[in-house]
Formats: sequence, C-alpha cells, structure tokens
Amino acid sequence: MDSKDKDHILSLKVMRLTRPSLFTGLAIGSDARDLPGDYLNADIRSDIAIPQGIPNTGVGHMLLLPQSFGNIYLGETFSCCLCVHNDGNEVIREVSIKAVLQMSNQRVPLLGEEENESLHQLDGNATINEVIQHEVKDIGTHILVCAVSYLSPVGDRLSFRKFFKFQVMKPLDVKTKFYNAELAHNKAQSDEVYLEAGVQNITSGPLCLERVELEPSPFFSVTPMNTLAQESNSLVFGRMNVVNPHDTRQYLYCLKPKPEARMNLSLLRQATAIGKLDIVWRTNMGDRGRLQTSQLQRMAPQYGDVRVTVEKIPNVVQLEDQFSVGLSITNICERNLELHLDFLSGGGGSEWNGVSSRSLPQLQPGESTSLSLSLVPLHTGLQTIAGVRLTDTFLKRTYDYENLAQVFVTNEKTKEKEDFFSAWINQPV
Amino acid sequence: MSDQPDPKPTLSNYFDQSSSSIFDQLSGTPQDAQPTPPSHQVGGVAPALPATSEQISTPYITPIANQQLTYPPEANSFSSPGANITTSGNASPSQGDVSLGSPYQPPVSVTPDPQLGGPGTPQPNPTNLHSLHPSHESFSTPAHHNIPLTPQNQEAVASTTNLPANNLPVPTPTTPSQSAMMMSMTTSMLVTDTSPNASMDVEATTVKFQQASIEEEAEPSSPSQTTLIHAGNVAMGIVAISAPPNNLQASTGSKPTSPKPPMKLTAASESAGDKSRQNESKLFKYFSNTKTSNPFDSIGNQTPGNTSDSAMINPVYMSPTDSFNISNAIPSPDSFLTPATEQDVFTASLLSSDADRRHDAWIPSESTKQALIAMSTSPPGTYFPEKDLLTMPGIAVKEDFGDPVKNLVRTYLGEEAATKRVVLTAASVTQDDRGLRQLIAAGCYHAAVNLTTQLLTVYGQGEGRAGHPSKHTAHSIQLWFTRIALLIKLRRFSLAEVECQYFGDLDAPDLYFEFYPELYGGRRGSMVPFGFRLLVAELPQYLGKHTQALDRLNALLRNCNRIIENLSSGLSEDGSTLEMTSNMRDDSLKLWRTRRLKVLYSITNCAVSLKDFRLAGSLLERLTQEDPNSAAGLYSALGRLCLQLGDVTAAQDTFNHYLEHTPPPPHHDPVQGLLHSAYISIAQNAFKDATEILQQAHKINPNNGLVINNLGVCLMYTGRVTEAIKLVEGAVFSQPDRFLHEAIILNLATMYELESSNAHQNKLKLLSLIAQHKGDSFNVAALKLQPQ
Repeated sequence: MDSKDKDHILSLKVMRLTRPSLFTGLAIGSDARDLPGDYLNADIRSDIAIPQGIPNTGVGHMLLLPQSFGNIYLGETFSCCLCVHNDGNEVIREVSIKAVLQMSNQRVPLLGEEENESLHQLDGNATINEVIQHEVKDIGTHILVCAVSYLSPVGDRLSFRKFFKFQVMKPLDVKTKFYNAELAHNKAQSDEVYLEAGVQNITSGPLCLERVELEPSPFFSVTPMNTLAQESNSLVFGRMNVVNPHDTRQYLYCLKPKPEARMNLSLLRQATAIGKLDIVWRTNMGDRGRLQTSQLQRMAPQYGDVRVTVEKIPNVVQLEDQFSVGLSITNICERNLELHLDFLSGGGGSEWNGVSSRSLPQLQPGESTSLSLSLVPLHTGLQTIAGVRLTDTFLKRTYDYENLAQVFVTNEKTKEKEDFFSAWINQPV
Repeated sequence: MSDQPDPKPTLSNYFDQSSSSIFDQLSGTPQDAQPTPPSHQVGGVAPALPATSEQISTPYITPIANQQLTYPPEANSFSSPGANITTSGNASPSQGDVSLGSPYQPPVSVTPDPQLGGPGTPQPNPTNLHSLHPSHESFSTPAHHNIPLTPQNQEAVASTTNLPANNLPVPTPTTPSQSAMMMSMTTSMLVTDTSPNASMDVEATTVKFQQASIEEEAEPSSPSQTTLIHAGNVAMGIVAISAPPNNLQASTGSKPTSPKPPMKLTAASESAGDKSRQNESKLFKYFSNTKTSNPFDSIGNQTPGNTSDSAMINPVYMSPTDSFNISNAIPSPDSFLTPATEQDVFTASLLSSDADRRHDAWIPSESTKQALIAMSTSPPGTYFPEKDLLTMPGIAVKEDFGDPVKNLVRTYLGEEAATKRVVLTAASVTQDDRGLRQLIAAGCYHAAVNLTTQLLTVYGQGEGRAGHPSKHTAHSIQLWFTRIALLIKLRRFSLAEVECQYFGDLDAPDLYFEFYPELYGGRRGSMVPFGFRLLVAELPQYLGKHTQALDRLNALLRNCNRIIENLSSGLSEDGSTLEMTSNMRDDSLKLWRTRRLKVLYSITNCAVSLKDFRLAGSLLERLTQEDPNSAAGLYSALGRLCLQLGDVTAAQDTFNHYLEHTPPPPHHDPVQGLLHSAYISIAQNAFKDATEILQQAHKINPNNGLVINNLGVCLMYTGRVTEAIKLVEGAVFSQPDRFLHEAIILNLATMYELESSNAHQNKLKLLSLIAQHKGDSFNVAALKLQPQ
C-alpha cells in the first residue's frame, strides 16, 4: 500500500469474506417481429447469469465475490481471508503470520498465537492463504492487526504489520412490555405474566429473524404465542419471514409461575427477573448473527390498598345502547376501607350513567364488593373504559382508573332498531 | 512500516478502490477513427451478367462514375409491370453502358452528401442537398440513382431471375441520405411485416418501379439534384403494393434528407401511390410467386472472404450469426406469417391484418381516443392536435459512443494493441435495420446505438430535435425501441430515461396508426411494440425509482387485463365490436395472456430489485399457479430468494418443491439439484461441503459456466485461492467465447487482487482476451483496472 511495503519480498492482502451475493444479468428482450428480431432474445439465452427456461425473475444464481467491506453488526461472524504472497523468485523460510483483533478494552488473538506456532516455507511467486473467523461480541472500533515475519534470503529476520479498522454496529433494538395478569378466566389467582417484545431491525437491510426465544428465569415456564396454531411452525408474521429496516416485530410470550414458585406468593410477587431473549437472525445468503438480551425485568405489581378488577363486560356493544360493566373492589390492606366513588368526565368515548360522587359500603380487610355501572357509548370503535375515581376517605388518597377495560362499539343496525325507526317514522300523525 | 495503528481504514480502502466502479460505465468517448476507409468497388467491377457477378450480392450498389448511364437492359418479365405504371420516357438506357452487375438494379450512388456524409466515404459525385425538394420536379420524375438496395433486394432480384441465391452481402458504409431511402423501404417492410417474404416482395417491386419510371425522365441533366427525394417518394408509393388493401404506404424516410424541418407529403406522392395501387394487384401477384428464400438467410451465410473490406474484420464479428440463424429462430407462426403463395394472397393479407391487429392492439386513454376520433372524422389535413398531445423525441447525446474495450486497450496496452482490435462499428455495416441487427448480434451495442442515432437523425429526431414536431412511423418507433433497449443493456439508464421522457406513457395520439391515415390507411392500433412499453415501465427501477416502475407496470397489467376481458366477452382487443373467428380470438387471447405474464414477471423483477421480499415471494408463488409450465424454475428462483433473505429453512422447503416439479432422474439435469444443495451449504457457512458438491457437479458437466464460477467462489472461501484462480482462469482462456462473462471476470479480477501482487498484469491478459473475443458492449468495468 505504501512505499515501505515495496521493501518486502512478501506482500499481504486481506479480504473480508462476507457471503457471496447472487448476480443476475439484465434480460431485455423483444418480439421476433420487432426490429432487433431474435438477437436480443438470443443474448438473454446465452447469458449464463440468467436462469434459463423461464422468463427472468430477477433472482440471480451466479455467486459473486463481495465487492465492498459492507457493514458488520454485533453478534455476526467476522471472517476474512489473508493472503501472503512471495513476490520474489527465491524461497522464503520461516514465514509466520499473526492476526490479532484489537478492541477498546481487549485483544483477541485470531491466528498464529498458539504455542507451537507453525512456520511456513514459501516458494517464489507462491501464496499462503489463511481464513480466519471471529464472532463479534463488542460494539465500536475494531482493528485487525496482521503481522508477517520471515527470514530474508540473506538471513535477516524481517517483519511488517498491517492494520485494518472497522466499526461494529448494533443490529437490533429490543423493547419489552409486561402485563401482569392477576386473575385467570376461572377467577383463580393466576399470576401469569405476558411479555411483549418488540424486536426492531436497525441494520440497513432486510433480515430474517430465524429464532426469537425467551429463556425464562427459574420461576417461570414459558409459552410462545407467535405461531398460528399451538403445534404449527408457521409464524403469525406472514409467509416470508422478513423484517425490513426500521420495522419492528412484536413477539408475545406467556409466562406461568412454576408450581414450586407458587408456594411462595410474596416471593413470586417480588420476582422481577423474567428471562432472556435469545435472538438468531440471518441476512444475505444465510449470514448468521446471534444475540442474547440481558435479564428482562418487570415492574413488580403495585396494587396499593385497593384492587379493582373488571368482572363482567360485553365484548361488543351498540352505539348509544346503554350497557353495564361489573367491577369488583377488594380491600387488600390491613385496615377497614371507606371509599368514595366519582365518575370523571371524558371517559374514553362513553359517558357514565348513574350517580356520581357516592360512598361505597365499608370494606373489611380482604373483603370485596361488586358494582354494576352503566355506560352509554357515544363513539364507535375500540373504546377504553376509564374515568373511575376511588377516594380513600381516611388517607385522602385517590385511585384513578384510566384503563379498566376495552369494549368494541359498533353502529350496525339491528333488525329491531330498523323496525323501531320505521314504525316511528310511519306512525300516523 | 509503522507500528502505530493506522487511523485510516485500510481494509475498507482496499475494497473501496476496487468497488467504486464495478458497474459504472466508462464515459462516452469520441468515436474512433475509421481504421481504414471502406473501399468501394467502383466502376470497373462491372460484369454485365448478374449471374456471374459477386457485386450483385453486395448490399449496396457500388458508386459509379456516370450516373446517367445506369439503366440496365430489361430483358425479362420484370419490365412489364413497370411498364404498366409509367409511360415510356426518353431516357431509355442502353445496354452495356452500365458498370453495375445486375440488369435489374437501378444504380445507386453511395455518394455522401456534404452535409450528412458518413465518415470516410469517398465522394466521387457530391450531390447538392439543398436543391432536393419535391416541388422541384413532378413526382413521376424518375428517381433512379439513389435507391440503395438492401441484401433483401438483391436476393429478390436474383431469385426472380432464377439466379443462384448465394449472395454474400458486404457491409459497406452508406451515407445518411442513403439510409433515408433504405428506411423508406424498411419502413414499409415493418409496416407490412408479417412475413419476411412479403417484405422481399416490397423491395423487388420497388426496384422495378424505379426502373420503369426512369423511362420518363424529363431532365436528364439534373438527376442528382432530385433523386434523393424522389427515390424516397417513389418507394413510398410502391411499397403499398404488398401492403394490405387500403394501405397506402408512405415513408417519412425521405424527409430528413433535407436539413430543413420535415416537409409534408405532397399531393404528387399520393397520386403516385394511387397510381401504383392501381397496378398493385398485378404486381403483387407477380412478385408473390417469385418468392424464394428468407431475406435474412444471407446474414448467416456471409463470410468475410467475399467482402471487399472484410480483411480487417475479425471473423468473430463478421459472422455473428453462426450460432443461430434468425430464420430458424423465429419462434412461432404468430409473429411472421407463413409465406404467401399465389393462391392465398388474399388470405395472407387478411391474416396479416389479423396478426397486426392482435399485436398492435392497445386501449388508448380517453383524451387520446378523442384526438384519434377527431383525426379520423375531420377531412384530411384539417385536424391538428394540440402540441402537448404529440411526442417530440430527440436524441439527447451529442457524441457517438466509442468502444470502451478499445479505449482501455489503448490506455493500458498501447496504441499498437488498440489498432489490432477489430470490431464492427456503425460505419462498417449497412446503414439500415440489417446492419443494426448485425451489430447487436456481434455484441457491439455501442456501435448499434450510434447507428440508431444516425437512422433517427434521418427521421428528424436526432440530436437537439427534442421538442420539435416530427412524424413517427412504425419503423422510427422500432428504432427508438431498439435504441432504448440497447442503452439499458449498456446500463446507461439516465440517458435512456432522458430520451424516454419524450414518449411519456407511450399513449400519445401520434403513436397510433390511426393518426396517419395517409400512411397506414385503415390500420388500427399502436405503433409502439409491447416490448417498448415494458422497457419504459421497467426503466425507473434501474434508477432507484421503484415506486414509479411499479406504478407503470401495474398500469400495463391493468390494460392487459382489460384487453383479455374484452376478448373474453366477445369484443375486439380495444373493446370495439369486431367479427372474429374463434381461431383469431384464441390466438389473440394467447398472445395477450403471454404478455400479461410478461408484465407479472417484470413486476417480480422490480420487487426483487427493491428487496421487497414479501412482494417478490408472493408474486413468485402466484406465478407458479399462473404459469405452471415454469413451476420448477420458479421454485428454484423462490428458493434462491429465500436464501438472499437468509431464510434457510424456507429455502430448503422450496428447493424440495422444485424437485417435485422436475421430471424424475433419468430426464432431469442433476446439476441443478446439486447447485441448490451447494447454495444451502453456503448459507450454513459450510463452504467445504459446498465445494465438494459443486466439484461433483463439475464432474457431471465440465462445461457449465455457472458451476465453474460458483465452484471458484466456494474455493475462495475455503482458502484455496490459487486453486480457484486455476479453475476459473483455465475455463476462461480455453473457451473465451463461452466463459467471458462480466460476472466471471469480476470474480476472477477480485481473486487476482487478493492472490498476488501481479493482479494488474493478470487483468491486462484478461483485457486482451476480451479485446480479441468480445464486442464493444462488454462491461470492462468488471476488470477493476486501477486508473493510470
């Protein structure tokens, strides 16, 4: 590269071996009755880079060596080919090649650092090739240091080094959300935890998420909920398993406490470590990368002194048709509770119908009461039920419930409604 | 040597150097000087009998010193139809005067015009272009001097007189003015181009008419001033003969011989056309049974030994059609009609109009439809559409393209080596469609583009003519199509885009036959070949505008669907009512279903290039249903697509589908299956396995370039660089014609760079190999030569 290299009989070349790509030619054809006749078509037929037998699909089949260094991401394997060439005609003895990967805080020997390091003998105009591979485990600047030493024909020990610098970037961004399900459908205490993990592709090209698995912490067993059916392998994400740049894919996992962990509920409640996500992805021609997240932490559920759960709610309601929501209010503190109920305005597209600002009967510790509240939906769509405020009259502490449940409001006209309106319109004046 | 870590990323430097220009084209260079001026057979070669003359077979009549003495004797039946057309004139030629070989050839001057003269052409008898104006003389004035004969002409003539048809055409340069007239004929060929034989008729007829008309030459003293135009016009009149009834043909080919804006067809030319039409049945009948061989046969037969200027032409380029003969390559009777025989001239013309209708059909947009209706309902010459309804194309590049291979040879190997490189150039072939095809077949796309520049300039659509009105003909549109196709093949996408923009969405009224009733009679449909539409729709994707490409392709798909719908519901393609036999309807449906599939494949292409794996994958799956005959190939493509994405499991599944759709082992090629296994191994980073699999495939078929290339690449990844080079280099140097491929060369150049310090020398060896064996369209950027 620089003039100093010219002093050496040996030369060193390094090429990063990213996966080969598939090359295809341009297939430009014409009708036989057009001016170029069949000549353009003949050109397509004779082009070995274009798969024959079918019209060109644009998917090549000819392997092409990488023509640029490309990007390298954390978790991928850095692989390169070192070539030491003897530019002279004389035999060069005791050639040793060393390669070290230097990072900000450590150095990893990749080649020629073993104890019984092999010394090559290199004939005139001959080449030694070495392929080295290293799984990249750090972000940031990496420097590949290659050192070649040899015995010159006159018997001097000579050596030279070359440095190759590259940046390692982060390929994926993972965001998690937890949902603590307190009650199962059978109203038994379930203490399930749902994990929603958004895996975002922050590389510059599409990638294939080959495997995204949750390795649960010892308290939990996990059920992935990302396939169409429990037993099938087909993912809910569609036919092609691709995540385009900047796209995020949401994975959902259900974590159940193991029976032995259930024995100690308070310990379970404090168990914040959920598990690790293990992600394997591939890009061009199967280039593989693998990352594991750190231990995912959930917020331990905080209930305060009072716990409100929804007991009964319709899934679908008619616009402007009043419906009721059944709430259960439980005292989970060690003293008696006196609660005051208020309806707040603007409750998510519905309005409460009932007496606001009233006191609820006193609750003993651990005691529950049920309430049935009426709502009139005023907007269609998926609406959140909100706007319930409970005030602990003793501590003057308020609890606002802004996301109690959701209900779907439709405006489909039912038969009865139609009948009612037509009767109303047609009634004799 | 430095002990400090070099802050510069040298590894990436190394790659950058070699990668920056991988597929960049060299910039255009001035056209090379003619190696030698083409020699002409002047005068003396004049055997009186065509049968013994080789000159007869030259595509051009050689220049002669005395233009007035050009009329051969009329010793055969040829003269009678001609005599019907014209009254006998005073310029009856005398036998023996003529130095030309054939008695049937009107002599032609290859004299270059001062204004438009081609490079290197001798100028024995310059003509004055400015005086060439149709009003100068009445139309019936003979235009005898300047009819260039294409080889088709020659053959037609020769066969008429039962001469042996072993004509060996010589590519010789002609002047643009000549090509103008040639085009006037070739235009008509295209218009009536339902059978190569039919076009032969046209040419033969033209010749005859020229001959006849000379007899009434009124002003022998000034023929050189009028001939150009008149030759064109006469040709216009005559070629109608073989056209379907009502198809008065004219050509705008003659127009551009004037440097002034194109002129209108004169009434005289129309009356001449009428005149010829009166005689057309007779003529047509006569010529239709003189039909012999395919006019394109001669291309394949040609050998350099018979040409005057062939000494300098490398045999590789001289007979590019060795590998195939266009007449054999014509795929279906759909595209060209079966030769008309004496009995079924009428049927032929019916069939021809059927094939034309089918191929040219298109559904115009509403505004175009209105303009075309206005055109056809108003009296001729009274309706002039808005200027923005017209396409006004022009060539957007000033200079001709050079030969990039030769330029590189000159830079790296010296002037001497450069002069040794011999390829066809635009000047060394006939200045017509045939020459164009010859250049394309020889892989000289740069030269072919240069030739389209010349031919389009003659149409008034040359450099700087964009935005100026000019008339289109089916032929000029075909020229544009060819030009754009070649530009895209040469990856000159921006230039192609600039030149395409004048055509808009290829739906302007002046791109329809109905726009030129005086030229095409009742012919309907679009002059734009379907391939052109596809090309223009695909073009934006090469410039990164995939959305625009997808929009255009979907518009094409919609129109195809509408045409298929129309046909299925008993209408004609464009939705009008038309009596169609069920055969006609089936043929048309078949054609349009094929075209629709082509569009679907193009959309797939675009999706793949966009790396929209979801769209590409779903399209490929859909195509396995819609094009079941290609299912195996489609599964193979889908498998490779999955690998490009990185989905190894899906790829393996899809390759298994491929196996289900191929015939069982004795019939199918095991190599493809091995290639698939190798791809899977590569994806699993098992390059050693891939190498072994491909070595097996190489043993089965040692001449498969794909296997050799892929095996070479896999050897690289296992650290066996020297072996890889030995394998690929050996293949390329032993069979350069087969294995000199840009991808193989790019890989080999990359291997050279890695392997030793001698990369540059090794690449130069490749360069001289390319210079020896490849045309000017070879992508020499693949060599990655360092600038000097």
